[in-house]
Amino acid sequence: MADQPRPTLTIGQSDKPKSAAAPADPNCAWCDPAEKCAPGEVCGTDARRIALMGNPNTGKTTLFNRLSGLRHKTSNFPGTTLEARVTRVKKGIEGGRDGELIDLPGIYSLELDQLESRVCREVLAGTSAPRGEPLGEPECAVVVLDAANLARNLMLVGEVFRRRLPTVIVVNMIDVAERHGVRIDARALEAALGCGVVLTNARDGAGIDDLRLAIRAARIPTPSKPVPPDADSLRAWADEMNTHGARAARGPGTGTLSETTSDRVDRLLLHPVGGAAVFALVMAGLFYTIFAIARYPMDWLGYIFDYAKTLVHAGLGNGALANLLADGVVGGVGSVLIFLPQICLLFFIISLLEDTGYLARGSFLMDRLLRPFGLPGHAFVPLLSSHACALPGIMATRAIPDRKERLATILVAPFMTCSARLPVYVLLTSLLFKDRPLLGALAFIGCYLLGMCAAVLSALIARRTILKGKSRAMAMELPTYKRPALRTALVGTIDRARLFVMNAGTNILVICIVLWWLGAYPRAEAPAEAVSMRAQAASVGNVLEPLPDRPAGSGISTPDGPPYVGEDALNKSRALRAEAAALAAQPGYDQKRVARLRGMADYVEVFGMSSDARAATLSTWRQKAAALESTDSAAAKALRDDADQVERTLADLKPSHGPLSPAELKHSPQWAAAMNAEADRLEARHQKTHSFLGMIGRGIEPVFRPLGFDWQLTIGVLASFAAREVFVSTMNVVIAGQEKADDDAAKQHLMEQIQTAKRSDGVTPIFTPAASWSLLVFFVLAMQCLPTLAVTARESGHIKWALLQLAWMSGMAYVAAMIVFQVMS
Amino acid sequence: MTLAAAFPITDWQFWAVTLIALAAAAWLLKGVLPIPYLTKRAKAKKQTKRVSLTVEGKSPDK
Repeated sequence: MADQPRPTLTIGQSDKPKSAAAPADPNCAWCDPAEKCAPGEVCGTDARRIALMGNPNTGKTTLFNRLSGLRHKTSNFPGTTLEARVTRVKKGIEGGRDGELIDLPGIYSLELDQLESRVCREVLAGTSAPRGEPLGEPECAVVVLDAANLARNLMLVGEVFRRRLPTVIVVNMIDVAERHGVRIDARALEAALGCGVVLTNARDGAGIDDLRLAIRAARIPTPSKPVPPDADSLRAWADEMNTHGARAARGPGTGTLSETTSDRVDRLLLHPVGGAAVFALVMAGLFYTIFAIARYPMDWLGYIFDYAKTLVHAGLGNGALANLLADGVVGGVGSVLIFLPQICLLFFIISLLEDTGYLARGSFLMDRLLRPFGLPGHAFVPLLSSHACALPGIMATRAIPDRKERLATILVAPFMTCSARLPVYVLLTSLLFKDRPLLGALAFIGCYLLGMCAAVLSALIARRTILKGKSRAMAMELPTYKRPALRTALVGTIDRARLFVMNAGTNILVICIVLWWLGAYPRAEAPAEAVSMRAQAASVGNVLEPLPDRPAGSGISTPDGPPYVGEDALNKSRALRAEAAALAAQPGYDQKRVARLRGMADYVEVFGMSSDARAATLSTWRQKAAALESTDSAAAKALRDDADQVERTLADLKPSHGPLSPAELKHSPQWAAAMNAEADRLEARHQKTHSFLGMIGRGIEPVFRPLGFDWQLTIGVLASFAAREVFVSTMNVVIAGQEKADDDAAKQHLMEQIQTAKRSDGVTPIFTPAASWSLLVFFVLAMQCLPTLAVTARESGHIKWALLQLAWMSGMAYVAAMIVFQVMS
Repeated sequence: MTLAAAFPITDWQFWAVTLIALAAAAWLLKGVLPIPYLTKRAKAKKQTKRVSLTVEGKSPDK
């Protein structure tokens, strides 16, 4: 039976018969020396396409990462949200044509009515491939087995054998099996299965070179006992294969897995009380770590984005285009990307927890909580997935067989805290608990718990009213505990971070651009108060101090030397010029006196200038003196003396200059700078208020006023209905104008800018504690994701479920946020 | 304030940022509004994929 010719129906490019098994080349462990491949590429295989598959938690992805390094791409299967990783394979079967190694989703059986199983079936049949990859049957199937659970894993092997593809069996995690007292004899197993068997430990790379050789020599399996067609017989076949392969290898007195370290640890971690306490501690520690560590790279990113804005303005000036780039694009996108360190850290720690096997225990603990609320055990995986993003979570509900249970899960999945909410949570908890990371972490956990509670309560209501029915029991496998693979966690983190940046970043970029334009036009005239402030600031000098009479002997000597600087000096200068002009208007006027008066006016005026303007004027005087040196040395000397005298006079005054009195302070440079900054703020606020954005925000503000949101927060909330993560960037765009004019604040990073923003009255912070809590609750509960609504409509089969989801979640969010604000204020 | 002052139509940068904003708005609305060029045609183009059907590596017509 095993040797019968195999009729195949192939869609795609598989227009050549399978090659015979290529002999392993002992001299080629990796690739030809003359054709070195880049690190991480799989080469030296004779297969154009290799499907990597196996049960969940068999170290399949670690193995893939070991083979590919970071040189892979992640892609969904068309029509699904199932991800596959693909890496290029050099030296394909037909000489020079590239192939690929595909990391398929973990499955327990190819025959299950689940999306993962269907995708694997279709990939093996050649009718499905990750997006962007050509269709075609794999030339080799690599089945990864858990060495400690060989018998159960071998059932999948039997199902793969039925496809009659060249196959290689990888028995992974041999170190775990050895700790359990189990040793696998690869040769005995190879003889029983009739195909290549390789022992590996993907975490430390043991056996990887053997695997490459085995893939190259992959052949259609010829098991010692044919694979039976039915499931019950398949179990017996798997047991027999396991016995054949492992019996001779087991050491005396070992081989029992009934009492392992994992079992002993599970007694604590799965205990209804102790396990829950440990779970809560682990989660608290996780988020505390995130808050405590991520702030450093966040600070660096803040400075980088500030510097980028400065560069944009330095390169493009202060025109509309430069403002769009600096404030709309760099400022808006930067306000979300600044949270990337926290998101990466979160993904990294979750990956580590998943790899240790603890996350499965956490799932098991949470499953106990779901049952009383009418959700099926199968719902836990979609709900867990929804913590990353609701879209794959809702798609994953396809695995739930009962329609009502599936609908209930779809309806409540968006309550789970997705990664898009994280920047908002981080922003608001940081504002509420600045410099208190522990409290921030607890608030963060509270948001997660509030979302979960809202989900299960909503599910309970739905299951008691519109979706009545019974829940089904759930069975799940708990993997053995193991040391996490940093490499796998790192690769997974990079993948997820890249997806976050690409998906969220694109939306945020375009929304920021639109919001910037709406906030910039129509342009408003500067308010009269701002104009007055600028005029007052412009008339201020550096110091307000009586000056001694100007000593005689300098270039333009006068007994009426400047008594004051600042505004008085300017007034004196104006008076001297007016006197000179009046004299010059008379017939036969004294030209020397007019020149003298004008020279005095120039001299006095210098004391009324700002320090920058004075320095520029003195420099001009010295240049003019140098030019006059050859023609009028006396005038040149007078100019130089004037410049020197001004500097000496001011320098002499400095040591005796004490703290400024209130009257003096009114005319100090600090006062002038503050006046200019306030004028900037007034103008920016006036502009925002009268822009299209302000009109929209003020129009809808009454709806959100009971929640404590002003028109600026209203704009942020409205924009985030497209995607939640847009809120942070929206707030930055909306309020950036208020801070950007302040030189000191411009150096603060983006989060601080938002923290100090004021409402329209210019006094009340936008983010008061009551408003921040209200906003936090609103974001936990509200349905603010258009793509999720679209997927809900598609997966449920009718738009009414999406509308129900929108109305239920947003209504609950509105009421809860209003209660929070009213109570706290 | 005059319309020209509210919208600086003589400034080329105004037109540049307006065009960029319009393009961004169109990208945003493509999933909400029925804009044929941005949705149906592009989607149909992506979904169309021609493959050759073979049995045992040979075309069934031969």
